[in-house]
Amino acid sequence: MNDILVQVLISIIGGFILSNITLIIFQVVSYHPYSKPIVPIFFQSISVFLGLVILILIDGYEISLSSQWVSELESSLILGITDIMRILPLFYVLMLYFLFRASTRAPLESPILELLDSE
Amino acid sequence: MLFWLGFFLMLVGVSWARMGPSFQRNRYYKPIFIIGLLCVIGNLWQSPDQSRDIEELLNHIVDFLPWFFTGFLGYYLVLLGAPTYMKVRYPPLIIGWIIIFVSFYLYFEYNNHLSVTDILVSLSTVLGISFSLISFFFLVRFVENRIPPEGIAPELTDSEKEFVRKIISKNIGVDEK
Repeated sequence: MNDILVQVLISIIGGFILSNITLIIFQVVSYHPYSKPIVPIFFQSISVFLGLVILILIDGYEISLSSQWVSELESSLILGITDIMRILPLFYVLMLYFLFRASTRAPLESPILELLDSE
Repeated sequence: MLFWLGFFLMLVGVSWARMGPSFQRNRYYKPIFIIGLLCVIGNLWQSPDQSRDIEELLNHIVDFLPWFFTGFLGYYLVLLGAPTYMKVRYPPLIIGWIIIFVSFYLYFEYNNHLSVTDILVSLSTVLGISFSLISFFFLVRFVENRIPPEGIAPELTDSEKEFVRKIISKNIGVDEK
């Protein structure tokens, strides 16, 4: 397979695993009597496992108990974090448009705010 | 190891800050988040005998932090000076915009090794994150839809009615007597 396509696939799985692990931790540590986290955590754990299986196969290893599950998990999390740090500037530039609009528009007219200003 | 401990503590901090219901949010989210951040930053000065992946990640963080914190400060100052609710305040607004431009300079200074292809490949991570969030949304909806609706709430007792009346009277400024 094309190298870039493999990198894209690994990046997608990296983001998927990072996001799922984040959501699993969120549901566990923020448990409260009104939350029902068991079913989502179960399916998210399975999908993380499947993501790791794909990564191990891409790396050319065989699936077994002795496969490097922990190091693959670590690599995928690192890849997810790195990718987010790389693409954040794009969103940063996108936000500049809204920031520019916020800094040039006229203040809202409100009698209550005028009262506050006059005090 | 210190990095992952810090990463976990930061996630715990953010989770505790956002957990619901709002009146049961954990009040220790700030110290936990700050301890996590310190662990991650402290890891930058740890001995170099770490895995290659972690070392690469730490290099990325070193390239990321200068422009990100500068940009964050610039955004904050611009929002402080922008005429969103109050009159425009020029000093923070102008300084904020200058700092934002400085953050752009810092970005190109620290990240000149990145190519457009690197960034486009990294952009595909958004797909993975979106899949994960969409599946989470459907899982939560599935679970919530299985909860049977609660019965009709009983009528307020006399003491509850009195309590509500007192609150409303106090809020609209009517003498209780």
